[in-house]
Amino acid sequence: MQAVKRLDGSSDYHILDYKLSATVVEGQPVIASATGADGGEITDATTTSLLDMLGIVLGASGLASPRSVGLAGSLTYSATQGDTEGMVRVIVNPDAIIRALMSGGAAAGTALVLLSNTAASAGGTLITDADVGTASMDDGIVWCISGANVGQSRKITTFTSATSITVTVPFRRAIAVSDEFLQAPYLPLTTRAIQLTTNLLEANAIIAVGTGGNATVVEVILNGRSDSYVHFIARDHIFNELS
Amino acid sequence: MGLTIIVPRAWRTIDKVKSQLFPRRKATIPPAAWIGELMERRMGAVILCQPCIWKYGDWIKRLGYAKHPDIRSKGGRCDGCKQSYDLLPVLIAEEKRGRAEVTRAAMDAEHRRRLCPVPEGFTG
Repeated sequence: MQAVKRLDGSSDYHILDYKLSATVVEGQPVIASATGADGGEITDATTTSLLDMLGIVLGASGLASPRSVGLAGSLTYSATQGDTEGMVRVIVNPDAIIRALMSGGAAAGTALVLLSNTAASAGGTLITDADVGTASMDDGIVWCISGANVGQSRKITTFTSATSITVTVPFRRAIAVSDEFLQAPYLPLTTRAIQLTTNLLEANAIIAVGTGGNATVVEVILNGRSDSYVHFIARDHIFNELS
Repeated sequence: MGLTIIVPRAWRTIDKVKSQLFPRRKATIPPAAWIGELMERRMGAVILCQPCIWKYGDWIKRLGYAKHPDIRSKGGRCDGCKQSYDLLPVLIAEEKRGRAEVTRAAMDAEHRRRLCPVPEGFTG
């Protein structure tokens, strides 16, 4: 993940240093430490929670080995006297737009599930394929990557588990058998939650719409199975709390 | 004793101006210990003002840091001289780039592709 710009369109960020309570890697979201026993001020987000999110880690390096810049790619804290204090730089703007690669699974780097239409739809509104899965994509987005409608995307308005997805605004041309589509549980302004992959660096795009941590989708970049992105903004930022 | 050929340096006006603006480190001052610690041990990203980038250029090169083309620190404080500026460049270790790295140029290319989101060479 990376902060790509702010809501005002600029990429000038407020960057602050914070004390660590956990091991972090660059590009991951961090949240404020809520536990008194934590040794520092920030800790890891979880795959399903971005409560009190602080921002995105902007560079972290190994603490223990002095010449390890970039090797470990992680930074942790130490409870040993004499060690350097574990601190990390974080982009803290509440309006920072964060970009995450869409992953087709809980593990980062998984390609999105390819939907190959199995029944023609002359009206251009129905995509049939058991591979749509069981996690509801209602209010998500579907886009065509092969066939007469290539390059078009539509909001999913009906989801039938393991059977089909329906759009209200039809694709411009009829959907033929074997036309290929991709789907994701993200729709700008509508989606209010994003689930992260286990390494906290990508967005898990095979979960039901509305599942995950507090985040509002700003934009989606719809490309292929391994290079589509979602841009989102923290909905419960520590400096602008939802609750 | 070996032969030493001294070539007189030709001082241009710009060299003279720079030498006045950003004087070299004195021999009595240790060479950038704090910046070295920041770069080597603590941070994968450092914030430096332009004079300090020039001053610590050898460290920046040796440890493989480079200015991020897009990200800047707003209202930040230089790690070197501790002076606050409106905007400061952010230097990131080059080897840390990759997974999370993106530039505006790369995003521009994505947006151009959005009109036809099939990646080049896509065969389905």
